[in-house]
Amino acid sequence: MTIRKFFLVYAACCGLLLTSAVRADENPLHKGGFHYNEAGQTPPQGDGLYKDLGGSEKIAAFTSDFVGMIVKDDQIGHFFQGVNTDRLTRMLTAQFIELSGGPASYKGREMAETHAGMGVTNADFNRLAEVLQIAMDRQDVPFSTQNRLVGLLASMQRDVVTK
Amino acid sequence: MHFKTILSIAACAVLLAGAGASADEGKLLATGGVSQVEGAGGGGLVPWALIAGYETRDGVGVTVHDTYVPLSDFTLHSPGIAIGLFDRVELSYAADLFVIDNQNLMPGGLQKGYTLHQDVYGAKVRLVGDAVYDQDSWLPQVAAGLQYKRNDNETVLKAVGAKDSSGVDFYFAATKLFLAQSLLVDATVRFTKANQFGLLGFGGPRSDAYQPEFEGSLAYLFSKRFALGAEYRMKPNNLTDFAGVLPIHGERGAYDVFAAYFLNKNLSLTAAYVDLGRIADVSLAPLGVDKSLEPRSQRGAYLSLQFAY
Repeated sequence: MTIRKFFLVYAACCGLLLTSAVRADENPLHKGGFHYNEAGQTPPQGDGLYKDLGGSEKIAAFTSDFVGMIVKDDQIGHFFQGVNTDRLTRMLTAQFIELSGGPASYKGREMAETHAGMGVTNADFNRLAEVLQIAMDRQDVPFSTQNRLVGLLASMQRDVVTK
Repeated sequence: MHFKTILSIAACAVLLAGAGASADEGKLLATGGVSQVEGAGGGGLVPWALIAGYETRDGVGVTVHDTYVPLSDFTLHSPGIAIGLFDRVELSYAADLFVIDNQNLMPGGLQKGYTLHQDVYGAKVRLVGDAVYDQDSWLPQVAAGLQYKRNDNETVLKAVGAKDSSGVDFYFAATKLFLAQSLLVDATVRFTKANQFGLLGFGGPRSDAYQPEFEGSLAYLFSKRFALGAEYRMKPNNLTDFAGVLPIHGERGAYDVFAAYFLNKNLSLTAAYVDLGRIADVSLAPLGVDKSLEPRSQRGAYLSLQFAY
């Protein structure tokens, strides 16, 4: 093999590696810092849920309300002591928009990483979902639409609940 | 007598809960199901794979229920209790009190007001899956259960030709909550010899073998507190005649359409329209009785109240 051919092959391999690396980040089943199984309810392809949730403005509104409630919650408030609530609101808003097929990317840490060692129980996890439902109620998100978002979050139980 | 049983079981459960296992009421509203007629957690007629009560895998909870079903010629009253342990095991007891309201229905001379009575002791184990969390999976929550039923109606059982006054039903239930569609689906297979849920004994001249019967439920969640659904339950066909003279027609399946309202995690109310088919569908023709007095399909209301602690 001549040197030129070698470099061509080498460049092609690098190109392939790069594209596969980029595609790994764009794996449609890895969204919101979580790896979904290829079954059941997965993050939607289109932006139907994002639109039904009311778009970025409404999602930001109920997320802000949601964060305001969970940090004061009798049961789960203690997990959020010392947390920067503005940053948390921004992160969660981006996560919900990404999960529902909207034009934002979640750039935070993986769900497993952020919750490691916290000792979150199923009851804590469910309580968070209940508070999110209340926040969505207050923004008049229809119940069936709420369930579609909660359904995407429910699978995260295996990464979030460690107790 | 049945209320004493329920009260003592409730007392034991409360002690158990106090003795160390916590009561976190951690499950999401409505995800414990309601109480079916034989006492197990599920819909109104069908046992589901869900474990009764609101405790998560970290706790023990109790539910107490009372069910009242006024039908065309009978009234069923079924008080009961269930204990949910660590979202894994469920133990239950229910009394089925079946009062005969129509004198014409019992040509054997039994009085109006005669009560068929049955005790049902149940146990259920969740085997795999979680109906709520496994959203990115096709795996349902699967449970295996049994119901030991004991009757004390020797007179009637002899007359219809039942082989036994007690028996055990075995079942497998698969339940899944599809949150994306706000839909709960259950499919249950029950192996049973019971005639009319056991109220007319077990086995009969036509068959004394276990037969698989299919049961299913579908429920749509309209809101956090309100679900609407329908159920169907097949029944076996073991009996042939009454008092050796009057033919008994085959049992049809039972079905209901229900509405369940969950006020909070302590109280739920279920109302349904139920059709249990013809119960002891005895043909009175050989007696020369007018056809208009023939037994009819037992339809009516179903009302159930469940209190959870």
